[in-house]
Amino acid sequence: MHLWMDLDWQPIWLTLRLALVTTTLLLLIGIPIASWLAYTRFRGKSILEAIISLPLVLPPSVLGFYFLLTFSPAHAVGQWLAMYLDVHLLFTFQGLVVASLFYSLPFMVHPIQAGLENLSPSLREAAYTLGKSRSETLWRVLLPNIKPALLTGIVLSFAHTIGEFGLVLMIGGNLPGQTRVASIAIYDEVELLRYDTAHAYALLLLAISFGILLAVYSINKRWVTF
Amino acid sequence: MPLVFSTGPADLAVELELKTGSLTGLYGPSGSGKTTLLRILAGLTTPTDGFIRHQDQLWLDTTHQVVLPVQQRPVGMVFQDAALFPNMTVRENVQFATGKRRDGLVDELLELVNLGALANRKPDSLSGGQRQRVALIRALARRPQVLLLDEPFSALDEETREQLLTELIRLHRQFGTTTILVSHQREELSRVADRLIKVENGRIRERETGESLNTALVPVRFTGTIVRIEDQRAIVRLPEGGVMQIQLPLAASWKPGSSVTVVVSEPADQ
Amino acid sequence: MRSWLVVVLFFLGSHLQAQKLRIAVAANAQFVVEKLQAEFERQTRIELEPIVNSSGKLTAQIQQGAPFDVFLSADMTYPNALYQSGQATTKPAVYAYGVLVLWASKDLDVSKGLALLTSDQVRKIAVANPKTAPYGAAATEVLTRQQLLGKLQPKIVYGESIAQVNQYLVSGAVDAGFTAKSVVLEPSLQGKGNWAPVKGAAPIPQGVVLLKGASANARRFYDFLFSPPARAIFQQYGYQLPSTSSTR
Repeated sequence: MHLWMDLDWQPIWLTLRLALVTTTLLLLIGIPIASWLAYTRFRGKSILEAIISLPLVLPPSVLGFYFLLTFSPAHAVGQWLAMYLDVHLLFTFQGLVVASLFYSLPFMVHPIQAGLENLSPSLREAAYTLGKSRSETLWRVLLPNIKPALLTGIVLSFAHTIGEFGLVLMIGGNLPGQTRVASIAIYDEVELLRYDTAHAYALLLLAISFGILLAVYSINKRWVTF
Repeated sequence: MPLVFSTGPADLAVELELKTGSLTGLYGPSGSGKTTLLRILAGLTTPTDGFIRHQDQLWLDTTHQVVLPVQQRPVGMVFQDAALFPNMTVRENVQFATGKRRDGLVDELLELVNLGALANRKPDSLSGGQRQRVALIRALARRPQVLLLDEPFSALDEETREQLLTELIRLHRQFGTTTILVSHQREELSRVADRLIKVENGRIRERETGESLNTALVPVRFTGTIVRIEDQRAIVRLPEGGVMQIQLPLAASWKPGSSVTVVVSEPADQ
Repeated sequence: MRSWLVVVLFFLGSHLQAQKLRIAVAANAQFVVEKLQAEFERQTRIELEPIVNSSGKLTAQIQQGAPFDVFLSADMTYPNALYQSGQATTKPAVYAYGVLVLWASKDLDVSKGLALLTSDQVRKIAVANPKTAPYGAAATEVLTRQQLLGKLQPKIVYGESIAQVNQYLVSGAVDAGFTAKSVVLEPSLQGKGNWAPVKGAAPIPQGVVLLKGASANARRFYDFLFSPPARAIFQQYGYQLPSTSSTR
């Protein structure tokens, strides 16, 4: 019992916060991108799709490495951000969010894009013939009819962000309350041979993740069937 | 309502005129281009060359880069699969067209097709015939100037088809909307249409209901890419989808992959 | 009958290949080990395979059965722990004394010593995780003694090991950091910044142990570390040398 009392819960809250913020932002960014990819044909579309899918195959440490270089205050982009926007993306929570957006983007875009592509085209066209704009059609007709796909995108992005490790290792700096997420904390505790604590964190993460997934899939049943 | 598919400045313009309030039936084999024609009218597809004028409104004029978006054309369309929105009830589907109102218009419309009792049901609990009735009334809800129906009854059984045709006639008389009905069954169209037009191989052959064959062939121009050549026929794919077959003229040097503009015309009398 | 033959041959073959010595190396020695490796392989024709990480991580891995032959730590505590638990077969011996240095980007003046860190020009300071890296522990210890730790805490970021601290420094992600002298002397890193030994930080005794299950050749490498050619290499890299009479 001592263990649970003394356990530092900060990494857990931090992880959940990161996953929540990232997933919400991804929903806002991913929907327009997915809709654009689903409904537009243009030259170089496959290049764009390949770029978006990169985080699926790239080792997270590669992503982290390039992030480190790009946003380092000693180099162009990082310097500009620091000077003009006072934005620092290394060793900060915001930095983790931005990196996670890149890292988990395909997990949100792909399911939504696939969902939209699988809808009967006549739905969209019918809405247009009723005088509705593209965005009104997207929000009132198309998205409500791909709820399973939206859910998949949300769950995958959330889970993927919770499991982030290699990326955070590269650009986090292991700062408690800011970048010391649960996966890093577990790693640390294992390194220190404090297996009890490592177990505690791991179990907690497992329980929370499972609980969220369970809740999401039960809601899915009620929410999705019309 | 004059409908003109232009063949370009040097060629003869073709007029296909539809009387306001008429019901025109378009029929022909699959792939003949009748659905494409409908979609071009609706604004869902834009041809490389075309001209559409409705009364005083210009919907399409490719030579002047005028393309009125589908949302702005006063058309209503009924699709083969009804295209009712699964996430909305019947009432909400119609309301989507009319917008939120307090004047009971939606209920009135539903009563017109005897679906008042089903107002709160979701589309997937309706029969095919019921769905098409909702689709019809939804398409008419905004009082469009032109109603387009793309094989709306093909997926239904004989009896339901009959019923719906009757409904269509009734609604047509009541609303007086210029209507174009596409079907692959000529017989059913001849029952309801003022005028029948056959579309075959991208050509329009006009035929008046009840009159003997009047082969006034009308030239039509299409631009597309040759997919392959079989015997003496070229299979051409139109830019926005749809395929048609063209009879090769003699000594043609067309190859698959090349872009071709086809103007097909034949003498007016045979 | 044939399948048996194949199996035997396979095992024979892999055994022949297992002659490469696996050396667990604490990050501070990653560069000096390359030179040592070249010299050792030249002398003995025995191949080495160095694995670099922080002392703490390596210790944890060894305790879980990682198949290393020799462990060069950045302190004495970790090798002692291994000796106590029986994973090390020799008592920890000092192979060199490491020197803690403060490294800063080019336009900063390291001669000011630790006081430099309080300036506004220094936004981020990299320290190896003190829980698993002895140089990180030494850095936090000297900062605490100088009563600077509290003030500098917001600026500090932790690297997994000296190696990551170096990474942060080279990529410009941080303005200053605590690393090992053996790192800053590496030719390929010359000119990347300024450095100075940290006043008040005692030289850190680096321990080496032979591990349980090590191959026969491991002992040759272990002895090599105390030989004159090896000592010369250590000296080149800024280490202070243990007296030749220290036991091994």
